Amino acid sequence: MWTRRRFIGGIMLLGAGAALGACTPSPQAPQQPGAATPPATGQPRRGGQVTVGLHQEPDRLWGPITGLTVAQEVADLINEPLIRINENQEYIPALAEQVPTVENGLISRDGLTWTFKLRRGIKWHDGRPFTSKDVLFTYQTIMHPDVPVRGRVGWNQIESVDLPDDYTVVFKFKTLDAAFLDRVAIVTILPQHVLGNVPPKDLATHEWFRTNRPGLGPFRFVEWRPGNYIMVERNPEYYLSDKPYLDRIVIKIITDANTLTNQLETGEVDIRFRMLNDQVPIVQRMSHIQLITTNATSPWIIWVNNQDPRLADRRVRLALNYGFDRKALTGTVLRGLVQPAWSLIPPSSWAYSDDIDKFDYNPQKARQLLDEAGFRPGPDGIRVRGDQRLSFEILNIAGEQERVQILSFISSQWKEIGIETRIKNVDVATMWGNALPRGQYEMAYSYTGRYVDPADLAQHYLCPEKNPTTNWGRYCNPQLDEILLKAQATLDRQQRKSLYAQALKMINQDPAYVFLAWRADHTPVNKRLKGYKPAPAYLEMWNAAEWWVEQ
Amino acid sequence: MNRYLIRRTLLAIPTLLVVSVLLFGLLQLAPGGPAALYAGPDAGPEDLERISRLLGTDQPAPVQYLRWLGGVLRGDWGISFRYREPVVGVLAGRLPNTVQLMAAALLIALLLSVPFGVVSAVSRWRPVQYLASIAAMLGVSIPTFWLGMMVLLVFSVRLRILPSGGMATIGLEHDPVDRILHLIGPASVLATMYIAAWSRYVRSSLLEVLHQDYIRLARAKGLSEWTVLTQHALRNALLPLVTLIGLQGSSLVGGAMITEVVFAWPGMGRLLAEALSSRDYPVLMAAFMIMAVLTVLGNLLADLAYGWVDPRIRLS
Repeated sequence: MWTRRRFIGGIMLLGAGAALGACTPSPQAPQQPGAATPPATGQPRRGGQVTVGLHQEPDRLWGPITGLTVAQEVADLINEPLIRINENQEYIPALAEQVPTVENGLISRDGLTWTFKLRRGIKWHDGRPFTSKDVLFTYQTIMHPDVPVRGRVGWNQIESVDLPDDYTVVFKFKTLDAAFLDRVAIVTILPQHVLGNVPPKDLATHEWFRTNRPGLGPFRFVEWRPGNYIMVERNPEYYLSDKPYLDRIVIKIITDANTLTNQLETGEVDIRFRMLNDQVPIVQRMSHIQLITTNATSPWIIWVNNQDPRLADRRVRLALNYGFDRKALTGTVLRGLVQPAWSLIPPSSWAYSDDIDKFDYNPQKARQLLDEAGFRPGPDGIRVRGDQRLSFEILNIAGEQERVQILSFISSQWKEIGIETRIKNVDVATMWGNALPRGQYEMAYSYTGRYVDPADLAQHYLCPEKNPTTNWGRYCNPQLDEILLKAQATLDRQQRKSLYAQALKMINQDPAYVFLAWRADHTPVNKRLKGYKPAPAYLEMWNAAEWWVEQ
Repeated sequence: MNRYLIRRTLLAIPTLLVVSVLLFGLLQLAPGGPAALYAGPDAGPEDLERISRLLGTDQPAPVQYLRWLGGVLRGDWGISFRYREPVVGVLAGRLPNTVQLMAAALLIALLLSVPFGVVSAVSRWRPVQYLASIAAMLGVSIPTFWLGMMVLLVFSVRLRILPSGGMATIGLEHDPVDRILHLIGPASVLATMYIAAWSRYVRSSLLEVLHQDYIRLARAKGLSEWTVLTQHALRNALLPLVTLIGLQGSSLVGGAMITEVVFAWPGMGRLLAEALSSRDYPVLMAAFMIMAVLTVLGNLLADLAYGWVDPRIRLS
């Protein structure tokens, strides 16, 4: 789940903080998320160079090994997966000729056999042909015990991979994996003719993972100067004729948000991704920059440890949800740059159901729920029940001023209903390496990512004994489990839709977590660059082959 | 002299060993093990076990330390957890950049702090003294990140006479003028801090020396004020500065995290920050050990330089 690991680095600096008062709306009306239109496209033209600013240094250029979105994005530029996900969260063919579905016969009726037909005549950057053997080798590498591939959920459900010919790959599953296409989309294919003879334990340190040379993608690797930049050039033999349009893309690594913004202003950088909200007013003042904002499919969330006896009480979790004003949070504190969230499934998903409580601010109801749960205000106004006191620590990843503003706002409103919270700043490794996976926290604030397919819901909510990967709250509801498992055991869209509607309703009535808002993806683009399309649920630069520059 | 050198070098070995044990222990104490981080949120228990085995963090800490030490003694600094590349290669990509930046900054600082210190010490004109004091206070107290941003804002974004970050214009890597233009911003921001601090040391130490009897004697002999200052006073007054510079040896390698981040300088400071947050133990250990060696070395050089500057403590 790569979106969750979007570590937006950067030290909050004085200059940016001074540019905007916490609650003053910016003079220009901000663009409504989702309402932004990509730059008008004229006639694409060949040639030219574009400079991309990355806020983080990539590590290894292969999805299953890296935890960094930026590394996957660069890999996706030089190399190619079987399928990609477009701006409308639809699967589109890449190396595969077609996206497998039950309708086109490439997925068997029982959903256990998935066939990928590969495009013919595709060549690696070194001229060698791309075949189904490369796909098999990629799968074998993912599953090899000596390769430091990260989580292998889904892949470990595959029983066998068959290659009827050089251009057909058949995956046979032990159990149906409804989210398999989401997994396939972020795995670029490995060159078997280069890596096939490397001992698996030396594979991850092989130079190929730093260069992806040879790759299959629209651009070829030229050089990587650590901490400085990565340069790629046009692949003239890309399988889409005339594409890519650009001759070269330079990816500059600039970890400071303000420096990156400066370079946008001076034209030294043409485009950057995942810009923080606080930079929006600054970028909006630049006449040569167009700001494109889309709602990401990952919400900001406050994880709640359901094993804590105080938080195990459903009424306390409901009170947390009713006890703060989401609309004021998104409209005022975040200046309307983001939209409120109340479930893990975004409204843009086919599986979204609107038949749920949106937790309008209702402090009366919150107080009543806490009363019912037996928590009465103590002398200091904080509620107590026996020796239990509603006083919690919220873990936060240090570094972004906005996170503190958000938490302070919620914290002050919770205090009014008798719940005390203190912010504790930790670093990324403590949050993801310790607190959440080991359940050593009370509440924690972060993003959570998700796949396009709603099957991911199960990983967040299945009872802990079923080994879900991201049920950080250790929530458990056997009835919900039944529905979630049923919903991912079929590919029938209608049936799944109604099952997920039920599941969302159950989750809504017994909220394990507190959802705050959908993360907004701000992409400032120099107006000379045309053809950029955002990727709300996928890797930025997914359509870089279609980018072009004016002149 | 030689025996002294040998003795000091031999003494450095246990010092470095103790430092390495402490560093290793400290890293072990940091919350959030690397395995969970590198396995990612999609990992099940068996994935965690596998990653932990592949990183070598499944072993007890003493075993891990001995393995590390054994490797280092054989010249193998291990594989970076984050980059999956030999640590030596990761450091080699960054070290020259940092040395370049820090050397430029220290050189500017040295060239400017001594005259500033001297002027503010000997000037009898009050405004100069006040001005020097205020400048020094400002230099020490202005946060580097703010100064860096202001430099970028004024010289890069508004005036457009300096590049806004990075080490070189892409494609012009071998153009010395371009290199120097990129160096001016970060090096002068870093130097500001040192100039401010060092010139104060020079000033106070010079003032002290100027009240010594031998200075009065030199003046009584009828030597010119210039000769008194340069030949008699300054030489002794520079002693504390020598120690200070000697202690900067490690920053030559450690770099300056904040300045490097603000100026997008691909140096060690940024690498270290990144390695810390990604729990990249092999890179951290190697970088800290190099810094420890340089600190020990810097101290030794400072002691030797003492003897050169001040014959009274010439070593035997």
